[in-house]
Amino acid sequence: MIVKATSYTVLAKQLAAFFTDRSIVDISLGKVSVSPDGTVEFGLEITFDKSRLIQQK
Amino acid sequence: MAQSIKNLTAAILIAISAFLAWTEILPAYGFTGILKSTIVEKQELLNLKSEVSTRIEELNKERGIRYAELQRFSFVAPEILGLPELVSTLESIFSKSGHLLSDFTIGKSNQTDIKNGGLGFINIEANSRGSYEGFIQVLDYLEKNIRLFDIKEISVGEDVSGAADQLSLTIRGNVYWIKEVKTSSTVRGGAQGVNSGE
Repeated sequence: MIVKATSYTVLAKQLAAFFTDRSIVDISLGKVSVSPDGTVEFGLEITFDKSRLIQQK
Repeated sequence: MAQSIKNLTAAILIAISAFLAWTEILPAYGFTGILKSTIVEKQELLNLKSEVSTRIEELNKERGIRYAELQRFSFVAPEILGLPELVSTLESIFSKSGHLLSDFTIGKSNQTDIKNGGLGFINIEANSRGSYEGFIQVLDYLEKNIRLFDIKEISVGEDVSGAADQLSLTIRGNVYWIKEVKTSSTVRGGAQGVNSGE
């Protein structure tokens, strides 16, 4: 997914927040660039731990 | 008469002492003799234990002294890639230098650096615009950065937007982290951003 953040600092905070969630196994960060309106645009791919999301019978 | 009573009393006392020595002290003496060899063995064991304890204390002290160094090393090559830290470091270096970080890519890397054993590395490419002085400062900050940033390639050119005295800068390099042996408890930490890419 393509995500926008107001600054690089906010992007770093978002990434750090994702890593605190135990159900997230991996995060792939795409190309990070500054868009003409001044926001930071980046691609993000999040891999979830299926076993934590779907209850095992 | 009085002399014979004295002699009798002395004889009785001697007899009682001899009896007590024979029945109480002599068996204990024999038992102590048997224990002597065991006591020597136990003493040796105790000495060994106290020696080991002293060595552990020394090692503990050594660890305390070296802890700061180890902690510093963990900043040079941490245990995880640390995507958030990388982003904020790049932002900090370029903003301090007055360069506009237009875009960057944190590349794909799931390989181990063969030359350096257990070190994993990831490619970083950053594009920025700014002055020549800023460019020098970027390099200076990268060099002084506590986390190792190995610059592989630098491209400097005139800024295509046509602004005066502005350069466009591309830096390609590697950052390192200590690759963990993946166990069930370390998979999450080790995989942090390993597949980061376009």
